[in-house]
Amino acid sequence: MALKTSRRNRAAASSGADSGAGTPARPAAEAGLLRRLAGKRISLLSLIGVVGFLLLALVGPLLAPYDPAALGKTSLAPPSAEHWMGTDEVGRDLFSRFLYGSRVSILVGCLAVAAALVLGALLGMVAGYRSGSTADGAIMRLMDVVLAFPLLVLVPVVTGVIGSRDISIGPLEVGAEVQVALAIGVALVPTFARIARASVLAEVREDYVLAVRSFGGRRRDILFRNIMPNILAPLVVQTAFALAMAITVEAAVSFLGLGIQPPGASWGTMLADARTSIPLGAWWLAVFPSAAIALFILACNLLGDQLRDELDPRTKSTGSSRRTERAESGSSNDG
Amino acid sequence: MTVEPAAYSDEVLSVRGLGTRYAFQGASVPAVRDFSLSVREGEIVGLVGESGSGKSTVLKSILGMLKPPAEVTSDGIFLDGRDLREVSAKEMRRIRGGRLAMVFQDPINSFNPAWTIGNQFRRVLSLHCPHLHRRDYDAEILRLLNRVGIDGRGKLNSYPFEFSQGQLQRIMIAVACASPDLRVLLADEPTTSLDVTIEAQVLELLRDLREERGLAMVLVTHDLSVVAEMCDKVVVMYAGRVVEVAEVHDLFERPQHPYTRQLLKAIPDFPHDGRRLYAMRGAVPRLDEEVPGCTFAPRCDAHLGDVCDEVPPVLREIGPDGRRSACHKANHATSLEETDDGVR
Amino acid sequence: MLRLAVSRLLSAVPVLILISIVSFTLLRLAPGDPALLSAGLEASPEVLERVRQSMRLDEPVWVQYWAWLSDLLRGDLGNSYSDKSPVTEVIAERLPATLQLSAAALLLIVAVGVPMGILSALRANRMADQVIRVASLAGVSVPNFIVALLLVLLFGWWFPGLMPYEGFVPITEDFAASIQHIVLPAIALAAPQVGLVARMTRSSMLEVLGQDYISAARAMGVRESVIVCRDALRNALLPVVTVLGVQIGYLLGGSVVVETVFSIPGIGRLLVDSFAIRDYPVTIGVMMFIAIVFVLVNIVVDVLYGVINPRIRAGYEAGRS
Repeated sequence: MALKTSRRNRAAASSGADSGAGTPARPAAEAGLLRRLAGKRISLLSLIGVVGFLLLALVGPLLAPYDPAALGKTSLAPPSAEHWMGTDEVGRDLFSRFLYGSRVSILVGCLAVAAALVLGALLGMVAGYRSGSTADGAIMRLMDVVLAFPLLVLVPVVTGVIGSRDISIGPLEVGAEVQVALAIGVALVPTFARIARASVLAEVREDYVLAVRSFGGRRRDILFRNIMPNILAPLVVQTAFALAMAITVEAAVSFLGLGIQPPGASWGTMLADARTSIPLGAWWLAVFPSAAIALFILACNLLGDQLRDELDPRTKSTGSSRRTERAESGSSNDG
Repeated sequence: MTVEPAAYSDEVLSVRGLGTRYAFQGASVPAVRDFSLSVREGEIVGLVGESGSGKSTVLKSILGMLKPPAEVTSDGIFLDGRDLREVSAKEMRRIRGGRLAMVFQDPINSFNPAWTIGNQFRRVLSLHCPHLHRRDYDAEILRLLNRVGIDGRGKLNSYPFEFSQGQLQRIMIAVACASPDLRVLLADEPTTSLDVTIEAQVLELLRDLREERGLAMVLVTHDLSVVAEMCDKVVVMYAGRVVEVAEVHDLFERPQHPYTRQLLKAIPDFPHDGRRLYAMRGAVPRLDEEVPGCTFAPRCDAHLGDVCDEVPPVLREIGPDGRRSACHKANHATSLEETDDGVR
Repeated sequence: MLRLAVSRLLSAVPVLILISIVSFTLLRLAPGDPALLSAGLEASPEVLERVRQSMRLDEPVWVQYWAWLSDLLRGDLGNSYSDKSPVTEVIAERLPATLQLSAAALLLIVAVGVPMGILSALRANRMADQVIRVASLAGVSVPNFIVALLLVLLFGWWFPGLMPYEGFVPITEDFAASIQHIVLPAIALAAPQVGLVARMTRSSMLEVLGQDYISAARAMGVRESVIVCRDALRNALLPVVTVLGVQIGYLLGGSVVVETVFSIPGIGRLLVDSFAIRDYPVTIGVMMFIAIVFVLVNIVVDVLYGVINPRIRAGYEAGRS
C-alpha cells in the first residue's frame, strides 16, 4: 500500500503538467490540497464522531441520572437543569432513556454489520473464486433475492416472523435486540457479498495469484492468505456505510413498532414515543434522538468517504484517479 | 531572451514567451515557462520531451483551451500575423477547428461514444464549412474520409466503438482537416496508442496532408524515431522549458544540450551491439519545487559544477537557422565536442 | 431490443422463484395456526378440520408450495385473516396512494437532484458546488422518517394550517387538495434520494467532462453550452438512470415509514398495519409484491439503458441478425 501511495503521489505531481486537460481536471487538482487539508480535518472529525458514539454506547448508561424506565411525576416537561432532555408522556427522564437507547441502537447496528461482514465476505469470496460455478450462481441469485426486498420491508417481517418465536442457540437465549440485529445483518449481506466477489474476481487475475498457484498452493490458502488481505480495503469502506444503514433500519423498524419493543429504549422507539407527542408540541422528544441518528449516520458516511479515498483509490468517485493512472502509464513508456 | 521578430514572411504560427501555470493542490505551479516557437508554412516542428515536460500544455495553451484557475501568459501567439490574445472568445471558437485544429493521442476517447461518427462529423462541418449546404454534408464527409483512406459509405451511422483505433485516428485527422481554411495542425502524440504498422500509415498520411495543403504542423511526441522521420525542426523541452532548438539533422548529428544527448543515447542501436542500454538516471523534477540553477543539473552527465546548480542557463543562439540551446556549456562549442567524444 | 428484454426477463426467473420460496417459507414460519386464524377462534373442531383441508395444510410442504404458487400465478395471494377478502384486492385498493406518493417523490428526485448535480459539477469547487455538496450530504444522512417527523412537527405544531400534514386525497377526486396533501410526504420520501442522485450526477458529470472527447469538441470550436448539453449530459446521465431504477425500490420501502407518519392509506401502511394484527397473508403478500415490482422495474431500467446506450444496443442488434 505504501508503495502504491508514493507512486500515486509522484504521478499526481507530473499529471499537474501533462494531463491537466479540460476544465474539470484542474479544479480537481486544485482542490487536492484543500481537500487533503479539509479532508484530514474531516476524517478526524468523522472518526471522533464514530468513536464518540461507540464510547457513548459503552459507558453512557453509567452516566444516566435516572432509571430509564422509572415513571416520574412531571410528564412532558421541557428540557431543564433537572431533566436535560425533558421528560416524556409518562414522566420518564429522556436523557437517561437516551443514554440507554443509544447503547441498544449502536450495539444492534454493530452486531448487524459484523454479522453481515463475516457472512457476506465469506459468500462473496467463495462466489468470486469459483466464479461461473453453480455455487457462484446460487449465491449471487440468493443475494439478488435479498436485495429485491427493500430493507424496511424485509427486516420487520423477518424480525416479526422469527422474533415471535422463542429462539435459543444452545443455552443462549436470543434477546429481541439480537433478533433485530440478525435480521438487519441478513439484509445487509448482499452488498458485502457483491463487493467481496468483485474484488476477488479482480485479484484472481493478478500475477501473484498465478504465481502462488504455479507453486502448487492450496486453494484455501490462496483465497484466505493471499487474496483476502488484498480485498479488505473495499470491505472496510463498506463497513462504515453499512453501519449508517444498519442504524437507519433499526431506528425505522423500531419506530414502526416492529423492532425493539417498548418499554425498551432505542433511538427508534424514542421516536415512536415522540410521534404521539408531537401534536402536543413536545419537540424535545423528537429532536434529540433525531439529531443523534443524523449525526451518527453523517459521521459514518463521512468516514466511509474518507476511507474510500485513502484505501481504495480505484473506486474514487471524482474520476481524478483514472487521470493519475493514465499519467502513470504514460511515464513508464517514456525516455 | 531576445524576442525574434517575424523574420519569415511565410511564418504561420509564432508563439513568444508563453508561460502556463496550473493550480495544483492550492499552489500555482508553472507547467511551461518562457516557451517560444515558430512554424512556417509546410513545416513540421517536433516538440519532444518526457511526460510532464509540458508538451501537451503548450498545445492547449496555443488553442486557448485552458481556463482559470490555469493561467496562460505570453508575449504573443500569432496565427498568420494575428495575435490570438486579442481575439474574442467567439472568434477564438471559430479559429479552433477552423484555421487551427488539434489531433489527440487517444482516438477512441476523442469521439463521443454516444453519437454516430456521421453525426459528430456533420457538427464540425456546420461549424467550419458555412458555405456548404446541409444536404451536401454527407458527400463532403465521404470525400474527406476518402482522403484519409477510409471508405465511409454506409458507415456514417456507425458508432465510434465499431471502428478500430487506426481507423478512428484517421477519421479524427479527417475531422481536424475538415475546414478548408486550415493552416496549422497540432498533433498531440497522434500515434502513441497505435500499432507500429498503423503508426507508419498515419504518419505517412500526415506527411501527405502537409504536402497537399501546405499545412504547418506541430507534432508532440516522445518518440525520437518519429521525430527523425517526420520533422523539419525540433524543439526539445525539459521540465516546462525549452532546452534546445535545432534543424532535425543537426539535432541528431550534433546535439548540443546534454539532455538531448542523453535522450539520443537512450535509444538502443539496431542491430544491438551487446552493450548495456543507456538509462538516464533520476526522474523529471517536480514542477512545484523552485530550482535555483539548471533544472537538468541533477541528472546531467556533463555537469560543470557550481554554475549549473546555482545559475539558471539561458536559451541562447548558438548557430545558424535558429539553432539554440540552454546550457552553460553550449557557449564553448569546441570544448563540448571534446567531451562529447569522451562520453561516447 | 426485444432480445435484450427477453434475456433479462429469463434471467430474472430464478430470482422470482426464489422470492416466492422465501415468501412462502416466511408465511409458514409465521406463528399461529393459519386454519385457526382463518376460521376464527370460536370455530368447532370439525369446521377447523374442513378449513385445514381446504387450505391443504394437511399435505406435504412442497405440495402446499406448489398449490400456493399456482394460485399466485393466477393472481391469487390467498385471503386476509382479518376480513377474509382476497389479499390481491386489499393491495389493489391501497396501491393508488403509494403510486401517487412514489411518483411525486420520483418527480422531485429527478427535478431537483439531477439539476443540482449538474450545477454542482459545472461550478466544481466554487460556492454553489460547496453548498450543494453539503446539502446533499445532509440529505443522504437524515433518514426519511426523521424528515417526516420534523415536517409534521414543523407544520403540525409550529406553523399549523400552512400545509396539510396528514391524510391522503386521491388525485382523481380533488386535484388541488391531492397535490397539497402529497407535498410533505413526497419531500420526506425524496429527501435522502435527492442527495444521493445529486452526488451521483455530480461525479458522473465531472468524470465525463474530463474525457478526451470533451477536449476534442472544444478543440474543434464547439460552443461550451452545446458541449454540456449534447456531449456531457447524455453520457453523464447513463449511470444516473440505472440508479433511478434502484430508487423505485427504495421509494416503495421508504413509503412504509412515510405513509405511517403521514397517515396515508398505501401499501406501506398496509404492511405495518397488517403486521400489527398478525394478518400474515397480507403482510407477506405486500412484501412479495414490492419485491416483484422491484425486480421488474430493474428489468425495465436495464432495457431502457440499452435503448439509450448505443454500445449495448448495437451489441444486441448484431447478435440478433
